[in-house]
Amino acid sequence: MGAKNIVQGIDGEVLAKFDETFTEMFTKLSIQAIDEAKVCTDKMFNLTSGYLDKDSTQFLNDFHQLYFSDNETSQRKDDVNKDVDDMFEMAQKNLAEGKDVEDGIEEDDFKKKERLGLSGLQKQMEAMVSLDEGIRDKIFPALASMQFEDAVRQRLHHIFDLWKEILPKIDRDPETDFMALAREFSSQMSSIEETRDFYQMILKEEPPEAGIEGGALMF
Amino acid sequence: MNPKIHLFIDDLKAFSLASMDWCRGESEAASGTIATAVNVLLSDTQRISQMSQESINAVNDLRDAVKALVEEKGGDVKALVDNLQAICRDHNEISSTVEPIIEALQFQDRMTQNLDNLGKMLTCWLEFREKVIDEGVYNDDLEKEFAKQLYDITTMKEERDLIEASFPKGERPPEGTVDSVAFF
Repeated sequence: MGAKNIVQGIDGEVLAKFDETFTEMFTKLSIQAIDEAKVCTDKMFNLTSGYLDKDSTQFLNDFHQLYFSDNETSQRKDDVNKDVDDMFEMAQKNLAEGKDVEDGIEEDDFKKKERLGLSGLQKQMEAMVSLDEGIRDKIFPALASMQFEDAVRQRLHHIFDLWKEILPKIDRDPETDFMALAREFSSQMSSIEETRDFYQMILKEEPPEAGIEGGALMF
Repeated sequence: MNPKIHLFIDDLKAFSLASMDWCRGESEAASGTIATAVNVLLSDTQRISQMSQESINAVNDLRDAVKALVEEKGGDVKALVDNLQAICRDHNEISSTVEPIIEALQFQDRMTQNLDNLGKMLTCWLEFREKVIDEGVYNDDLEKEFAKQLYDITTMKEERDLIEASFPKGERPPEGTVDSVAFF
């Protein structure tokens, strides 16, 4: 067994235990806050369903489920988006190399169905909003609430993930390259403000242009 | 402690508090979303046409009350909720309209409190951590002292439950005070 890490006069293991106990509790409290945000969205959906017709309410519920329901649905959405990104990147590469655009781009029936399903739901929302301006006002509260829930969930996850990842190393292995660790973490930031804050406050530099697209609340 | 690590922890804290402030600001702004939903609800002519003039007046008061809350940003949600509950009692025919609004406001208020307290607890922990390092020890007395500081920050029973489970040496205060949100 190696020598104990001593942080000034205290055994690093004792400090680590204290830190772990707090960060565990902090994580649970953050999850409580995320749950409150979820209930806010649910209540807003209840409120909205009071003045939307049945079809629109069903559509909103589907859309909500696509974003938040379970890990499996969320994973499907991420997979579809990643597949589309990969296909787009491959097509661009083919174009740059003077090849046929579809060279090497394969999509099995299942993936195609998944992609069209997601795209269909997104198109349905665009159509709803563009065909009837009145409906935009009606679905605004539910969509804004949903987006708020998503943003809060991500932000709080980033905070407790950051502390849980870095603190044990501070207590047990203070020679770690913490800036390198923080830089690895920076790719997880998801909104313009969050990315800017992370770069300016922790990495002490301006964020790269490409890393600050999207993520701001739209509604 | 290594001064570089000390500064790094300060930076993590600043980033965390900035993120929590952002979430709290968005949570307070969520009352604007609720106000929008109320406006849409009140422009539902079919629904309004079935109400008595007295109830329509009550609903208009409700709209004004929510609007005032949004303009104050972070105003007294509890007072508004009390007011809405009174409207519900006095005008039974609009209670189904008002109840979801009350619930949405209550949860939004709870969330704002949660976020506010999280930021305070994070600061409290990092300050206490310095003390633990300076004294070179973490014993039952220090756990008690830390738990007391955390309990003093709380405004909700669920928070105190978690503190009790995490720092059992601490003395949990009696649940004499009522949480600022009373559910249906």
